[in-house]
Amino acid sequence: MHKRFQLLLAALTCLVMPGVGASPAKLVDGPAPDFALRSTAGRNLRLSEFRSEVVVLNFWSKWCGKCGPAMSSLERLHREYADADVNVIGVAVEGKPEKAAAAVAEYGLTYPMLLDATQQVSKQYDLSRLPATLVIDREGTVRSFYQGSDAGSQPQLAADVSALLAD
Amino acid sequence: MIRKLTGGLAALLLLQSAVADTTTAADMAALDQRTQSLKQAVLDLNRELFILEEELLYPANTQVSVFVSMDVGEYFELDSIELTLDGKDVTNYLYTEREVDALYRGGVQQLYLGNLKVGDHELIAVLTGEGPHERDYRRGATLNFDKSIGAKFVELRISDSEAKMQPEFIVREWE
Repeated sequence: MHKRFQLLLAALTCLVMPGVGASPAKLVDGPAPDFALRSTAGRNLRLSEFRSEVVVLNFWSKWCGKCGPAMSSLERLHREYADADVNVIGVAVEGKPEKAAAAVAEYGLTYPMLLDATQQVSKQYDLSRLPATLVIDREGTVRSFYQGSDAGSQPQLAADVSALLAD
Repeated sequence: MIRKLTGGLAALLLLQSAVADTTTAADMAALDQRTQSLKQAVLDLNRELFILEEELLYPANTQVSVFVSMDVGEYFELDSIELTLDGKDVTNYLYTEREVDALYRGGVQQLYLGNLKVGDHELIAVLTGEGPHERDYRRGATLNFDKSIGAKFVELRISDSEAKMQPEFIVREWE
């Protein structure tokens, strides 16, 4: 019973202090915070619905110079793993939906692009730099995190994805 | 003599092998049983924790729950629900295709769980989606209710009005 109480106390502590452990680097090996966002295609997507598949989640913004090349690289990754249980998902931080749609067209992106206009989700992930990419395993656990020019490092991301698919 | 000895040895080996097989199978069955009982214990503990957590965070005296259900849904495709309680935004839920499909198939979703004081309260639900003729649709539904001591359950039901060929949003209290 004492152990149960301790477990409950720990669970409640996590509930009342949602900020604890929210930094992306701290998120590695922890559960990826769930969210639902509208996509540029009009559909709503929820991260937890991709459970049982590998997810590569990329946050970007129109004002960020390194974001475009990272997205091009992620598009190649998306095509490379088109037949596998791998989902590349983009999240446009800030900006208007039209701008995100324009970027999708400009870079020829075929993976889903979500709109985080209110920055609610990027705050949830406590992002300090863009672009930022998280690799999430089939259980919904963040397995790696990259930011800046590393966020679109295709060999590294491909290696991570392949390792998770082999798990 | 040698033939008899060889036959006996073969029989002994066969017997030993059969005993070993039985032991392994029995061990495996016992291990499987232990694993299953451990799994059940974890599930029971998880359930107890969930109930304890709900009792602590949302005591029955102040608890208020809002559920969403759908009946047919031919004239409306749900996209989101914004819920306001006494002028305060409490939830803004975006629905995915899978969630809408689950509601179509009779699923009931607990949209909100919170605490309210005893007295009069106002609940406003703003639903957005695609209405008849694929037009964007945004409609509000209000419920004024009296919260007494004890849990309060509210249902937000989306149904079709065949007569009006329009969706209908009903907010009602569960007795």
